[in-house]
Amino acid sequence: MDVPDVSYARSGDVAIAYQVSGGGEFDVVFAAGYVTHLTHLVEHPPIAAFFDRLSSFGRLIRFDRRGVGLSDRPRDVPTLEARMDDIRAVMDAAGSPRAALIATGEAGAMAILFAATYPERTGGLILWNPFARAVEAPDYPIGETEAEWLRQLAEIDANWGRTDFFAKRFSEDWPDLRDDEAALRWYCETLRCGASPGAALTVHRMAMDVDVRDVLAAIRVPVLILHRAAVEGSPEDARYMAERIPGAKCVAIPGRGQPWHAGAERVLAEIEAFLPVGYGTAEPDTVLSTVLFTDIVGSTEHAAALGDRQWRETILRHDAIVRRCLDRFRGRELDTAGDGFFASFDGPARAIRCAVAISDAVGELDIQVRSGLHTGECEIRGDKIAGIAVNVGARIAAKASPGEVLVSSTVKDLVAGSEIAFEDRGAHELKGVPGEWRLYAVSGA
Amino acid sequence: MDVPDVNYARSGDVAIAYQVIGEGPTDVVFVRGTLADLLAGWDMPLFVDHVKWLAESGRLLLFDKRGSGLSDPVRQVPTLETRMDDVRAVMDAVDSERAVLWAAQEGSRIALLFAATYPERTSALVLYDPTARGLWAPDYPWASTDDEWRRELREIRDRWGDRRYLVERAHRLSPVGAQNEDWLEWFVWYQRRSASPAEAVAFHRMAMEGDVRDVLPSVRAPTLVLHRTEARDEAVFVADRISGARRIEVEGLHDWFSWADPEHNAVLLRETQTFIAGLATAPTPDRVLATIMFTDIVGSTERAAELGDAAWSDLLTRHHTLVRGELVRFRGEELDTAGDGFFASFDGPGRAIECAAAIRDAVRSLGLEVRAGLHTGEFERIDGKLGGIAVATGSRIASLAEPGEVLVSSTVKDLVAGSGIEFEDRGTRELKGVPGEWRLFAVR
Repeated sequence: MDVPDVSYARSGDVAIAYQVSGGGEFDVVFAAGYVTHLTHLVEHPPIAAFFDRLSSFGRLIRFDRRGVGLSDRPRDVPTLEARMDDIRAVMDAAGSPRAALIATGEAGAMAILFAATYPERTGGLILWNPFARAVEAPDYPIGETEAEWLRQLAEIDANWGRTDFFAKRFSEDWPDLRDDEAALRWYCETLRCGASPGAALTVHRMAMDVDVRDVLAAIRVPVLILHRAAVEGSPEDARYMAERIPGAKCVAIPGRGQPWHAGAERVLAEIEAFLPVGYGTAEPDTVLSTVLFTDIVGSTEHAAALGDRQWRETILRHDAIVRRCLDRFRGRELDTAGDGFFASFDGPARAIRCAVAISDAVGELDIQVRSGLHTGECEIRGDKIAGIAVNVGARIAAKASPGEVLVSSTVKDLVAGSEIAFEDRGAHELKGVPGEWRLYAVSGA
Repeated sequence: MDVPDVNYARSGDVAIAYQVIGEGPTDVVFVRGTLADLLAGWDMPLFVDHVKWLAESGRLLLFDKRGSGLSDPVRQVPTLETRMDDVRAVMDAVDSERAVLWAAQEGSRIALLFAATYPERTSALVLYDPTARGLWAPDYPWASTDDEWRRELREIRDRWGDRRYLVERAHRLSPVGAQNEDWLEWFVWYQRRSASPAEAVAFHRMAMEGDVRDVLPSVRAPTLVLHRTEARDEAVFVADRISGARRIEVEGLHDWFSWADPEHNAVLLRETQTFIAGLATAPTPDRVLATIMFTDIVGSTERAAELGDAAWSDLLTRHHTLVRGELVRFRGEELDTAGDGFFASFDGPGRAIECAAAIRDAVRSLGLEVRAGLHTGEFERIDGKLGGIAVATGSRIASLAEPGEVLVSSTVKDLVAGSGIEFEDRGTRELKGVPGEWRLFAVR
């Protein structure tokens, strides 16, 4: 395979290296999980052949995620939202308005969040061996135990980069290639060049943090799930997902290894048949959004104390502050109701930072706001959004104490890996919304 | 030649990737001139030839600087001191007690600081196109000005990785190498593999901030300076300040990557081999570079009078315990206690500053204030103790510090450039009994 040149997309201030090959009526973005290196990867003949075929289906866009390969390597674990932004940055840089997304392993999480958030840019989602959550929980018994994850992290920390360690993993993961010395050498080089020991640890921490269970039901684009029937845990993870993503198709592939190993022809045939399906669907009418409601605390008392004219002045300055913050964090103003705001965001961490910034900034006006945030599926109605998720957001805001930014557990789970800290505020009932809701107050952002 | 296995040394919490090539009684550490990638180097036959030749002199150690190639990424721009520690970490990992440091360009600053700090671990220095400082100064007019650096850093930020930019860079740095299409193609990928755009910016910022002018006179290791004609001024500056240094201008060599021009590089390598072969067993060094710290309790006489002897002596004991705790934490060596103050030395100025600040903060829990003074200089080592005029300098600086202040000489400040430690200029002072004028800075 001819190695196409590398370009760099800017995602915030992080450079994401990407390559474009082939062409055709579809754009296909390939988000490879784990540790990758754009140029080393294709030195393995099965991978080169696999990508060659993929790039005959359409224009293939591949990239190294932040932290690995040729891309910038921030030392801290990036949020899922930042990783989702990387897909968008690469598509923007490559001039791709809409693409089919193929994601392997743990990269499935960022692709899922992308597909739910930007359904209009997602021409179908193909997931290889995906998992919705990494760590076992009472309501998620099929995850690995936390102790097992920590054991693996310690193992990576102690051994990453060592030839004997790589050789052992190689023969365990890809038993069919056990005697292929060239493949083993390639494997070691790719992993070493793809991630230094510290960078590898970050990748594993990131995988351990994955939890996109709450997003699955909000996916409205066609989804194809491919998984290894013979790999332990893989069918359970795939089934969990297929049951929760509306209309998802699930196909078991026999054998072991990556999609370019055993059964690659079958994998490619499934992808080729799925591309027109994924691309062909109509504009979606729902989208995953984070909604923010803010409200000024004690506005009646303030108005009475200050007099109408002066209070009106304060409100105007408050509105200007809120709009400046929305602008800075890419929020979209949807409504002002009395002295509160209703806005939506394409990323929950941005929404939290915005709410905190608003809370801090209005202090100069001697007023306080309460804010509530929720991430959920919203119906698109012209320029506005509606649906139960919007009601949930409004109810959460009403429960917030003065100056507090209160969020649902969905928001909290999605910002794992960010420096944002929370305090548990317990389970609540929200008026008119079924079920119990666990709420969290932002204690540091 | 087979590509040797990659190993990792731990320098603090950062993994430094290294390779070992060949064997022999002498260890040689190759400190590269710019960004590098251990494995990518082996794809270039000319570079492999260069490495093999260096390995003829003994066991050769190659490593990727932190924040580049196969080594761990960094959170912030590291100091020269931290990067010097990386050399030590690699040597420790292969049980190398002493080594010849073969360093090029920016790497020579790491080597120079290492040689001055660890004379007992430095058998010799071979420096190719060394530079003492990255930024223009009145007494160092050859380096780029602030404006030029700003432009360069902006260009790296916007264009690093872009083929056209890297090809331009290749032509600028290695006119002979760049004549060859294969070399050019290799270079483009080599640079991309060595550093992502953000890493390239961080590295060059580091190159801009580095400054080792003050430590040059402390280098005692036998030193050979090799340079191109166009790098003569900076090479002369370095060689003139290291006692006994030899300087050889390699005529006709114009490539920054000397090995890209094998014909002229052969001269470089021959001189290196002869020099290393001729090294006699070096005498034990009697002068070392160190950072010293003096601390003193403010108003101790008044406090002692107030508290009475027993309570005061109890307080002093607790003070000493706290100070010793911090010394251990920051790898300081206690040299003396004089009344209620401490005299300690450190092998790195950044650690010394952090230690002084930590002591100041810690003793406040006892209701005490200290003043602290720091200086980096060359000391005589007599029976394990440090002596010399630099000791007096440090002590004088401490006596000028305000209560709660950590006051340092400009030498200390220059050496921690890039650490994020901020200073306030305290102006120029005279130090009793020490010649010259001294510019002092308070740690913010």
